[in-house]
Amino acid sequence: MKRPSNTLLGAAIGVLVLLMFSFAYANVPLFKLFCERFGLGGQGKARMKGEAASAMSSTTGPIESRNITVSLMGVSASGLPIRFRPSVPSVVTNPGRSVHLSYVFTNMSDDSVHFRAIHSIVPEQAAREFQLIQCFCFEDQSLGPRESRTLPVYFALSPRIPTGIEEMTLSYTLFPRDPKKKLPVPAQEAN
Amino acid sequence: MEAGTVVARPGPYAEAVHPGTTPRTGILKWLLTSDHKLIGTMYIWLAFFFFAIAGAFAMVMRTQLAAPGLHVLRPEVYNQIMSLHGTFMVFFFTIPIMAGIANYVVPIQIGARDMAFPRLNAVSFWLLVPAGSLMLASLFLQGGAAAAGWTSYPPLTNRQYSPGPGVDLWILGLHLAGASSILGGINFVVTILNLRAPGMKMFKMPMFCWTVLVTQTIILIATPILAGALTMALTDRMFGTGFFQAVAGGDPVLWQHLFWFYSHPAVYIMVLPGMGMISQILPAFSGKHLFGYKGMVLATAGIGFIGFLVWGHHMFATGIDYRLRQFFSFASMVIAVPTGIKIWSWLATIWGGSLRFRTPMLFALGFIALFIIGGITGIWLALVPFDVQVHDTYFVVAHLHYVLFGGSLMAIMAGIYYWLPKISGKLYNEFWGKVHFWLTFIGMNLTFMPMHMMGMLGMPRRIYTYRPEFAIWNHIASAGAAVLGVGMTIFALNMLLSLWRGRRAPADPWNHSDETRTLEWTVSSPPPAENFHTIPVIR
Ligand SMILES: [Cu+2]
Repeated sequence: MKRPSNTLLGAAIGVLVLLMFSFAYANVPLFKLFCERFGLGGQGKARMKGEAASAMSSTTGPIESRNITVSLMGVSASGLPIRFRPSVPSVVTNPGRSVHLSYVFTNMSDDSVHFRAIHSIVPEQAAREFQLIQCFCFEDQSLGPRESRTLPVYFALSPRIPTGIEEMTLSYTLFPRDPKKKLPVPAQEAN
Repeated sequence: MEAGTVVARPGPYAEAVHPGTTPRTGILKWLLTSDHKLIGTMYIWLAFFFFAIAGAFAMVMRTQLAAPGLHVLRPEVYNQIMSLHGTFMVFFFTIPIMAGIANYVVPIQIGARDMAFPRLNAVSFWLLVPAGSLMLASLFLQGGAAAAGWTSYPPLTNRQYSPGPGVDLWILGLHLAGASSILGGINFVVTILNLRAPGMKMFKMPMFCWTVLVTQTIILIATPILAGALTMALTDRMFGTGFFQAVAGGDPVLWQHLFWFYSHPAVYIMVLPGMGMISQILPAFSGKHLFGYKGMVLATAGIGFIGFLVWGHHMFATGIDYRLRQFFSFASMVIAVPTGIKIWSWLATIWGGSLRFRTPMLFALGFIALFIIGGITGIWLALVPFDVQVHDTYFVVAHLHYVLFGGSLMAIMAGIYYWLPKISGKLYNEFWGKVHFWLTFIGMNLTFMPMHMMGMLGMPRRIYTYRPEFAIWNHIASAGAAVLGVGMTIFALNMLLSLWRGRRAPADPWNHSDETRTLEWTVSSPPPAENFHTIPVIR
């Protein structure tokens, strides 16, 4: 087999190098497109923008017929003398329908307690389609000695929730709060 | 004849030695040379010079970390030393010394008189001198050297967090080193494809040449991407572009993608030539030909190819899509297949051979043992839940040192002990070579095995001190570093003494069997000008 000249082969490889260098720059727009399509943790920017433009549009959209079971859970962080449980252990709902339920909180001690509930939603890839409309976790809460109180939660699943998801879990963890101290910045942003 | 083993036969004149050139002497002989043997030798010297500096940085770090709460270094100086240690070991030691050894050995092994572009070869080498010097110099400037780790992630490298010239010089230095790599890559690929002696078919080339060919191809594809990313980082800092700045509409994560698109394959740039050396040393000291030569070639190419599909395993903690995480996790584990083929082939090579435990052989066997450990922790880290757990802890430091110290450095040492008599024409002291091996093998494990424990206990990497809970493991690691330091000092003295007053080396100091003798062992030590009196014809 006849070999190409050194110069020709070297120049050809040089062209490949230049192409790869340009490819690095081509990645700038490509990466933007990719992120808009797939985004961080499966959440595309395009979708987020759409949501911002018509907030709550998802809850007023057509109600879909597929059933999704939402389990409700909750734990207290160590040391908090609070017993709390949802009014029902789980609800079956449809995307687009809003749900109203409540949690009952009981202070088991003889002192007032101040706390904050932090929510978490699984599975992760459907979390953004789970919209908390009103929640006791939006604010700090307090209970007097031996006081019992019922606090409401309003939520809705968006119709954009990925198909194949049939079960979700909404759970709360209670953390003690010192009402005299201001919240650090990240916790405030969590609202 | 077995594929991959070549026997030189004096053939007809294929090419005459260039007549009428008077050799230069003194310093000019080195400064103006375009001879691949002299350039290869300079590469090796320069790489070992940078190795001594980066090694000294490591010793200083282990001194600072010997016990919790020490104040050997100020925290900001620790960060600089740590960053330069990584950068120098990767870009100014491992990659150049592989290029240096290949520069010396490959043209002879394929029966060529020199590289395809001898003057370009000199340019490749000389670019490294200002590259390394720029980075070293930044240590002494206002604000010190770059302190953002060898990975230099933005926003840490943005102007507001790294205001001094350190990061700028780091970028420029890396740019020059990258240009050196790319020019070298063009040269190697053309040399191997075009300058093989008559009869030296691709599948008759020694394994080392194959690994160099694959490595240099990886360099040609991956390094331009790094060059692009570095250019973006530089214009971000100097001219206010916003490629990696969120406020300007850019994305810091893009840097990670580009950086790791280069730097994962860079692991193979650093390891594959070492595997090639091992693939020649094991047969040489077992008296048997390499087991499964074609499988080895395919495995090498396979590792090179899959290596481009796994960069995301460095980014599991960045919040990339879970489907991407699955893909990268799976692809990373697939790499174990060609790697396993190699390891089994090496074991089959030495199986039943008449082994001679000379120094290069000891390092080659040490390479296999340590690289297996690094490979296994690599598979653990490919698992997303485990990776997220130990992300940015010492576990990763342990893993990467088993791959790069246990893998690349052990192979480099094996290669240096194997080819040094050929390069210098002098023999070294075998006893002290073996002492060096045992100190390195034991010291390496003492230093890096405890880092697995530190990592799983949660000790973060890149921090200048730590909580007392981690003390015991750090005591052991620092003691191990001292053992390594003694070993490397013995190595340096042994090599220098050998150059100064070693006995003359014969053409084949290792008494290769006919099956395992590659072309460089058929010519004198060091080889004559232009390597061969007559170009060999391979049967
Ligand atoms: Cu990697």
